[in-house]
Amino acid sequence: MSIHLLKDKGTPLAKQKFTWRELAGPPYSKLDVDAFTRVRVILMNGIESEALRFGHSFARMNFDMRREMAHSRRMHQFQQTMVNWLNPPDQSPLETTIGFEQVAIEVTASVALAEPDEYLAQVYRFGLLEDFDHMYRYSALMDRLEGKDANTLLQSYTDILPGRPTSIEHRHPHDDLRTPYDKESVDFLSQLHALTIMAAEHQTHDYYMTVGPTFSDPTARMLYAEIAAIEEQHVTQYESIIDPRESWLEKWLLHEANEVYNYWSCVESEDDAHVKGIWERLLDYELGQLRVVADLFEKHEGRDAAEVLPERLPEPVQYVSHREFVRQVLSEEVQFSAVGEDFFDREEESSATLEYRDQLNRDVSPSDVIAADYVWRPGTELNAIDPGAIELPRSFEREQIRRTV
Amino acid sequence: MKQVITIGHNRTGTHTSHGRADEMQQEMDSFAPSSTGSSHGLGMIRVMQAKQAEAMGSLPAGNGLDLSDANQLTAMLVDKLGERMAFEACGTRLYEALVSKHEAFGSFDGGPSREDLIEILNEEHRHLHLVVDHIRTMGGDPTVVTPGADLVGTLSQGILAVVVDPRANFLQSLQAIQLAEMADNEGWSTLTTLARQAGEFQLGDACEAAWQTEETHLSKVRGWLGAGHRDAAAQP
Repeated sequence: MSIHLLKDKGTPLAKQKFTWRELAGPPYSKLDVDAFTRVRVILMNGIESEALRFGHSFARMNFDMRREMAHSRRMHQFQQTMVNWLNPPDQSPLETTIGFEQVAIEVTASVALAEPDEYLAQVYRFGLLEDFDHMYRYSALMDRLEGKDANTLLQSYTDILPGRPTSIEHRHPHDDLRTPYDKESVDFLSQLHALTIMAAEHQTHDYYMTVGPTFSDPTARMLYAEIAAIEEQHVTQYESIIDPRESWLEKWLLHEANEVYNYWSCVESEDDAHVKGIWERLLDYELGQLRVVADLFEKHEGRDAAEVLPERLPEPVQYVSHREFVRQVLSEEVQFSAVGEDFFDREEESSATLEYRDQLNRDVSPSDVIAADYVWRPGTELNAIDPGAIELPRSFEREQIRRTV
Repeated sequence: MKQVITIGHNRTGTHTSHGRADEMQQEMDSFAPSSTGSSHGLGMIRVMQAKQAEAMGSLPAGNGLDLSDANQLTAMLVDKLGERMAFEACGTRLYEALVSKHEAFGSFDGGPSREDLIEILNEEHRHLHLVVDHIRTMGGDPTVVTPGADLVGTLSQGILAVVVDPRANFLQSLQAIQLAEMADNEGWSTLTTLARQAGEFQLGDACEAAWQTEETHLSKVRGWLGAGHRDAAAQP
């Protein structure tokens, strides 16, 4: 299906309607859907969450367009509901977490590969290796806390291996800021990429902050706190690559275009008929909303929307396994850290980052504890131990955990 | 460390509300409900949605086991094997957590030793392997989450949440384990029956042996809980 961003009218805003029954409709099957359906649902919930977040921020800074903004925002809230309620109730918060990290790995990998700007591609590869490690830590948690295999959700598309160890991802806030792209010369695809990954990471942060305290296990509670802190770093990183000189209306227009792009990417790749129907419906709704914002942009800024948006969308997000690419990045860039806006070998980290990290890890590193000597095995690590041969120490108090890289 | 109930400042009841509950109940009639009907509306929607709902998930066809033309008895047996496998893996982790509670809070007169708990832990682990091995022997895939396995995953969440909560003492954690052992007993009983109905007599015998071991677990846990409650009640 081909989209013309500035000509396709989609569903007019006045005709976008919902009922409670539609909004809380039947969820997908955790056991039967392809893992990328879950990935798309989790990503699009994040995209809609960003639409609301941005919309509210803008509304607090503007009076003239408050009516149009309120209407558009309400539609986004309903769209987010319709998407998020596709998650099934038998998918536990930890299982959904595995889905969040699969989004962060596979969608970021797709973005890193397609990104035309080498510096921005490096930024995505840098973040990717950190989320890749989060997957490993959460998989260890699922195995060691619940006796469950995270791969039943990943469906072997995504590796469960250590990346850049979470315990050394903690950096001083100034070392998480990157150089923004230049809005005058940036490729449109780079703008879509930045908005997409920023939205995904922001929602991941908010999700961990919501479900983290619902866990009983003390290591699980600390692990969610630790990884949520990294997600906040990632939001800082990804929002800092966006040119702050874009006007509020320009940013709104780009948000709407990005929502069209992502729903269209979902339509192009979805194989679940029920979920695909929702993507198609919401793609039409987004085109209707984009039309409204394009008109507002032209009226208030006196500029043609075509100055910001191209006619055609770039290639869609690739919802496929990126194992080979991720392993290559892992082997070449795992030792990287950031100082200021640039990437260096870890040995060159700033004293501010080292002090910040040492303080946080002073008592215990939950991410090191949960995955101490952890190797993923099909069906959990319990399957790799001889029957009845589990040995526990005479006392847990003497357990020593030490990071080896 | 304490296995006893703390007497403190619980504020959940109306008696500790300093008259606020009485104020709440005054002139309630002036504020009528905004809709008619009853609590049965929930039932109405449950019935409506359940009639239209798809199953939570399926068993995979063509995965060693040819389930595409299998009868319901075979399908149920495969589903329940997956269910037991999931439950025993979780049970193994539950006992690991219980051992840490034992270390943190200590035991009591008539309570288990650390070795007692590790012994049960390893019996749960043997049962996990028993099922894994049998699924492999049947040509199945022991990494599949069957619908039954998914259900017990949801059922077990509350039990696990208690056992790993550092604020739940050893005795309270043992109470959660009792619930798991009761469910485990029923699960092995069901599996034994199904295996024999399906003509899988060797599996039936193995399941019955596991069931007997689980009965011993339940009996032990009941005895420890009783002793623990007596011990706690005798504390000053």
